[in-house]
Amino acid sequence: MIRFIIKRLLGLLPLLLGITLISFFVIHLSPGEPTVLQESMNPKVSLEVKERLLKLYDLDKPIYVQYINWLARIIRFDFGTSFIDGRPVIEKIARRLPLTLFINITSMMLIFLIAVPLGVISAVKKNSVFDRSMTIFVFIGFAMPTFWLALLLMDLLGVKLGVLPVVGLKSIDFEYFNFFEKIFDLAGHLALPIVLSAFSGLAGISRYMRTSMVNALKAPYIYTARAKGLPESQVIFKHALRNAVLPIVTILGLSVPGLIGGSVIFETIFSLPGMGRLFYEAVMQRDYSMIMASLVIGAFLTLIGNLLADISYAYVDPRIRYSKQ
Amino acid sequence: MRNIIDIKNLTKEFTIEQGALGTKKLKIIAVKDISFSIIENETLAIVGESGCGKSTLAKLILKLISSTKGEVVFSSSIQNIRKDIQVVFQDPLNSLDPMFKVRDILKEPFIIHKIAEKGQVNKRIIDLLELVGLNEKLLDRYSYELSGGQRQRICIARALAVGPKVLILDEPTSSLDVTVQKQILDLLKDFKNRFKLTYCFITHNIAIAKLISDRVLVMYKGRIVELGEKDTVFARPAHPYTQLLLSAKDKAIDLIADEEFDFYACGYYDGCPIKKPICKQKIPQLYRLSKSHYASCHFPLNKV
Repeated sequence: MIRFIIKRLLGLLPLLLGITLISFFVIHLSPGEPTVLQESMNPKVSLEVKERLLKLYDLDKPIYVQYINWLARIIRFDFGTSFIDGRPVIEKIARRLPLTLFINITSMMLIFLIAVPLGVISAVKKNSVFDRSMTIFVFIGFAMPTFWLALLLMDLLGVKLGVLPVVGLKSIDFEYFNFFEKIFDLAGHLALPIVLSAFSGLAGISRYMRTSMVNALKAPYIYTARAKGLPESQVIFKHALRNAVLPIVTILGLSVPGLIGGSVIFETIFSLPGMGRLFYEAVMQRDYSMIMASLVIGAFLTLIGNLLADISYAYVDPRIRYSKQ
Repeated sequence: MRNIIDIKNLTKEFTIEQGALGTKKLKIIAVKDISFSIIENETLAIVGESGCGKSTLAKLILKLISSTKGEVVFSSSIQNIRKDIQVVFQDPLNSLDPMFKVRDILKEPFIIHKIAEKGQVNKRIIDLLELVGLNEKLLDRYSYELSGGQRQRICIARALAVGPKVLILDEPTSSLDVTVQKQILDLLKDFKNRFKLTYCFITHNIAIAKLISDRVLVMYKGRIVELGEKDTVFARPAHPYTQLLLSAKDKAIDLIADEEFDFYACGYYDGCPIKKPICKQKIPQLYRLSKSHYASCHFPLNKV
């Protein structure tokens, strides 16, 4: 098992290199330069100043030199300083990342905890009223733009009913709260973002779970299990579920990039100080070092997510464990 | 000679929903009004081409699926069908849960039916493995780490664990190599005598039926076309379809396509070499030809 993990970790390196290469060049191909914000609106900026700025950020060198320099720094975890405010990028990210991770991990657990039972019930009671209404719910879930639903719910729960705070992470008087009030306040602010970001994944995953379970229930070993007198509940949980949940683990692992992408939208809508919004702002301001650092860290997290999915897959499925050793 | 299982007018229809909203329903009758008995300590071979409904019949007898009409009646010697009747399926790889080790597969029957003391289960499992000619080294393997023959031996061991009275064998050898087939058949023959078992052996291979059975039941399109002692059926087949099967040996027979299910005609009408007008107007019943020989044909061959 440990050999399998090490092998997979080593395999990630070339992938990560490829990601840095592509994202670096794509970002530099996009129109606009970081200096634009500081110069074009300002008639006092002369050509010399512009050149000095370009030189400061290494932007006057050929692009491959820039890439190699940048890569050399990245390897030492030096992501440079933000083009906008001159603060170290890593520091800014470190402050924002935990919130985004927290929201994504929680909503992923939420998806797993809700979608799996829903899928199982749908599959076991196939074509029942419950199953059919789940199908409808799933279609609605797929079709509904979550940012729109977010706005509606903010209006309903935050403005009309006033049960949840609308935006932000903390209330204004957060500093004066005691420990439990602080937790309660944070939970209130995060409830909507987490539930909504889980909602979009929920529909799909519960559907996958249903299909996977329906197929598992058709397998000959299920007939065997029934024929030897195992009670139906054990047939479902001991034999069918264990086999059916495997593909879901993979799909959840693969949904990590989607969740990270979704963070951009949710954090902007809910004004949450997370990675997503930091990234969005960086893009709008052509803050190259910030963008690149976010991309690399985002890619790294995605790869880690896939790796974790692989490891858990190998852990639950003996077939993978053996073939990969 | 007692009947251990009586099958009475058993019919199974499957409905397939078609069209976007599942409004158009297609009815498929897999088993049509079948009646016969399985006699204690016999080996009854059920022979037919793939798709003739023999596996559905097996599942109906085991009550793994419910019948549309008719019933399966068990004799008083069968108290608990989940214990006294066991099944071995065609595909040993898929009929063993891939997440289970051999040890757990063999342990489960003992736990379900509580038939062994806790400390004894391990010994019973090893005995079982020995019985089917396997080494206890295999206990910690998963099913896909075994060979086809080993897997089927495990399936048989699992079926025998609870001391059943009847084994339903649904093509137990058809996914195996010929040499392994022979071993498994010998093993099954040996167990039948040793444990006084009753076999219901489903196969598409007429040669295997000849090798192992006491009586033969030939199915065609969900119906019984012929039923009788092995020697009688093989020597003097009464139904033209049986004759075709025997002459084809184990060559594949082309299924005669009839898209429309005809409620009045003999199912074998299109393929039959001796058909007469009445065959299209009346479904032949299972006529009794001699003491234990039945065929559903208006014009049975080889009459004595």
